[in-house]
Amino acid sequence: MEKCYNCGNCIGICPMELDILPRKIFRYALLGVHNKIVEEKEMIFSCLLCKRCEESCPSDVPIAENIRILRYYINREEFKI
Amino acid sequence: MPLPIKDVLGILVDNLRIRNSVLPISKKTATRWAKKCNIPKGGDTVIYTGLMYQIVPSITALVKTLEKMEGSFLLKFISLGRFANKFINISKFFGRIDKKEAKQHNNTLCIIANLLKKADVDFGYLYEDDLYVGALAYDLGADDIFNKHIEKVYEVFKKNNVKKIITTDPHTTNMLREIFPKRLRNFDIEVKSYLEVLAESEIKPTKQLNDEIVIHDSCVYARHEGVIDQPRILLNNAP
Repeated sequence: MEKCYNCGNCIGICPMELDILPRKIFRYALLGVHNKIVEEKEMIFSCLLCKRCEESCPSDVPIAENIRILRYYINREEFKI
Repeated sequence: MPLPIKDVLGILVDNLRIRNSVLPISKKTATRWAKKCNIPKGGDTVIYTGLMYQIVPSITALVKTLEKMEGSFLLKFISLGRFANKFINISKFFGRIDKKEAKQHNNTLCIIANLLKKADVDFGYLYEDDLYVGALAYDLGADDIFNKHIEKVYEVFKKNNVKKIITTDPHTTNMLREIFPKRLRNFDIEVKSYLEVLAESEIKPTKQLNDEIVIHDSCVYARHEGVIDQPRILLNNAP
């Protein structure tokens, strides 16, 4: 996640046009801002995990797996699933 | 009022935990296609659907129901629905399944099986032991339930002495080939997509292909599994 340098390529290519994913949400995760991550749960669960963003990522960030881990975090900490 | 993610997700993962599939369907519905095209039971090599094609009509019905519920007062009762689902399968009430759609997906599975037969591939089918692999639970980050579920799936493979699996869809391929070996010790089953098996075989299309065609590379085959060349190899063999 820390390899992301916020260039925005991922957002430009997203078929779901998710403008907060992944760069902003990764910042929240790195800073440990729990409430911001939970606030954006609809966006986090809208990602298709299609990896188009990873193809254009100059820093080889495993974006889809990071999104999946954020879902796991929300499931455990917020939904208690 | 937007859809409550927690309750919808809760229903799906509760289903996986209690009923072995995110959207449970009857064994008869799941295996109808294989009976129709006479696939023998069992064997070292099996065609494995992971029920992905068979549950698509249930997903369509669920999505339609949720679309109707979005913004309505009924959403207030969805948490009650989740509670009830622990005792009765409420998926049955998500709306009528489109029989035409179900037939179409069953036909797709039969076409895949028939192509494998034409390519002289010897394979069987597990019938009632063809379990959902848990792809949606994994994608939704329900890892704890997913991890328990894949142990059940692997036990079924071992019980049936499965050595090689031929998958029919990208998600099942990805789960069995990439995720299962990372999470299950001693997972030793060879997994290939039907596209890979056909591309490695001597099968050749018999009909001429004169039209210009476009291939849509699916996200999981192309970017998770690297299955890109195989459909092109098969089509390039057309006379």
